[in-house]
Amino acid sequence: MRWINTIIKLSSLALLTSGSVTATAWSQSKDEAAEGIKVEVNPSQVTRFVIAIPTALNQGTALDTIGLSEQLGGTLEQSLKISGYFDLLERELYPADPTSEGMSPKFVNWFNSGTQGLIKSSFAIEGDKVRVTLKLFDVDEKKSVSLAEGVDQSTTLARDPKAIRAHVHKFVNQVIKFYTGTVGFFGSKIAAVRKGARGKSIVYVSTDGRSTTSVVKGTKTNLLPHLAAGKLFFTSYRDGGPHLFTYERGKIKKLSSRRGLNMGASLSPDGRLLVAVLSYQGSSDLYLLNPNSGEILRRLTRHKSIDISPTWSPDGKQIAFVSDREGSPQLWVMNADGSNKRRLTYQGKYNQSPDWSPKGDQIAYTSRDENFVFDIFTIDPNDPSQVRRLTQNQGNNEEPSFSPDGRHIVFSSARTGRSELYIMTGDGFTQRRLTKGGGYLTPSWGR
Amino acid sequence: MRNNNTEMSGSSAWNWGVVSKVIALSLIAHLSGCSGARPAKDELTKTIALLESVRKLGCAHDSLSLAEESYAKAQKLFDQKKYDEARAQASAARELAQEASDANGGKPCEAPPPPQDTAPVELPTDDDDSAVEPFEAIEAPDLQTVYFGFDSSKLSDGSISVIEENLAWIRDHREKRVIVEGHCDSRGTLEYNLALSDRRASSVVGYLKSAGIEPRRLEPVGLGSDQPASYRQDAEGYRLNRRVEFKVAR
Repeated sequence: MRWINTIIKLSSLALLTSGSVTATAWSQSKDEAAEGIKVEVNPSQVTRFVIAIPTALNQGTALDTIGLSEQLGGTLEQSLKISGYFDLLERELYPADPTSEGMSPKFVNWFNSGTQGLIKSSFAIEGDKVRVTLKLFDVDEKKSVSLAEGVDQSTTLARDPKAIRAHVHKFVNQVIKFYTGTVGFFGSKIAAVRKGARGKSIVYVSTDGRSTTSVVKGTKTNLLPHLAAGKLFFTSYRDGGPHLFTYERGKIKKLSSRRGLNMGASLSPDGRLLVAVLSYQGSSDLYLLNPNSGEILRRLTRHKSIDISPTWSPDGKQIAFVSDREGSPQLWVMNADGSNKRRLTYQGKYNQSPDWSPKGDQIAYTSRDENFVFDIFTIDPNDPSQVRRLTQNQGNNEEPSFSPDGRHIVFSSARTGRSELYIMTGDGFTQRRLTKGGGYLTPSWGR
Repeated sequence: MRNNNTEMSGSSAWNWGVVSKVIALSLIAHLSGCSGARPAKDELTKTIALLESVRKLGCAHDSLSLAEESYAKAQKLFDQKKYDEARAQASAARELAQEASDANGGKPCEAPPPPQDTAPVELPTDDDDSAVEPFEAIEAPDLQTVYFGFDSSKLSDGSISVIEENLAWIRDHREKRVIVEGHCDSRGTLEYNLALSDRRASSVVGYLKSAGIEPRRLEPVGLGSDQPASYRQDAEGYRLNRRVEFKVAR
């Protein structure tokens, strides 16, 4: 059965070197291997690992009347799938009766089944507490892996599904770090608009899609959330016009209610400046504001055209935005003081909604293609000839927003007929639906 | 959720002459018959080849925009195996593309002017950056709606006549704060539509200010495409939605 393993590994290598994926990123050195990094993953490539998740073992005396085994297995499975880095080993390929080996796997059996990784879990229900143990095993190396932050130690938790899910997410984040070198995104939040019968609310969506929490409710229209440094910025018509508000620790505060548009806020990486669109001087232009008071610090654009959708470079030195000053909406870049404006996109006539990746090497955006359909693309701001298409032939896909580690993108898509949020890997290779029920728009992944 | 066809940027007001030509060409091609995938495919291939060459000329022309739209429709029809209709639509698109090419004698248009960092702002400016008082807009049945061209905030002669009629009412009701609500059709991204609808409202507000209405009585509000006047997804529906409505503050 060893040949199966070899094929899987060869497939991973083939994936890395195929098409537009660059082979240079396959960079396993001895030092990295010593630290548990199998491959460095960046937004232009995906390596998938085969992993097995046998049923959790009840090691306590109490019966599992709360479905803990399903909860542990389900959360592990769903999180690993959403991450886009793992293929789950089919159950038919599992060794016979994996529960009989307890928490000490017989590596040769698992190795022959074709898996590269193995997650064993056990639990005990003790009154209103549960004790949970999650362990990662490197089947290739035939050893247990020690993960950071003690996530693989036996942990006592409240009998609360949220607490249990949060613990599993911490563990999965570290599993992802072991395989890719960078911690996973679980535990971060995505803000989005949800369209309801009575208005548009701002909601938080968990990154495993298990929960949606309404943050800014109301019968009025609330739009364009931007989640950064624990603060939510959004535009709302709650006082009449499109005004800019913040939401922090349960409180809503008005930030800018100047005449005309107040929208499209984006917080600088150091949290000290807010760039937003105002139109009180007659045209929609970009301004730097104090993110706490809303005071105008500087006007960045001064043009009769439409200038909108600002997004910061991760070093805070540049701002990308959309302008139609040359006849059609295109992506532009300028220095953070408003100087040195230059056009970035030339392909397509309608390029919008940019989001600069946290690594700085990509800007994701929405473009209308030759068939009048909206799809998501990325462009390298340092080499604008490098344009990649991430979605195609699946209805309208728009409003991309990078994950905090820059390896995933959340976006809205109406491919099923209703507008839902999807998460894809940075090269578009793996795309998974995150929400259900419809009405989700303009996501902003909190950083 | 939006439809596929986005409001094009650029100069153009809607050109009814070109529109009627599209309809006529589509009808002629449709009536001419000739079924089957191959002729339709051939027509699509010829059309895209011409379209690509016209795109390279870099000329913004109504006919090119319409040719692009017609071609997209043709492709969709082809995918749906409606070959006769696809061929007709592609043929219409090719005629339009040829017209766009001929408009500049088949020569490339001049390169756009270099970007201006500090281009003069032609719209009326208002340095008052103070916060506006909260308001709730209520209907003003005596005030008429103003309509706009495709991706345009330009006031036509007809629009100005309507605004002039509204002006009389606004002057007679000095106690009223007037809410000038800009709207778009649904073809465009949310943020761009908000900005475009704001520009439409600002255009009207600019005219009212220049006619002597106090700025503090006027509130421009861009609503994007959230409150359509028509749910029809055709040219007439889009026309009805590209508008500015007048309301008053409660």
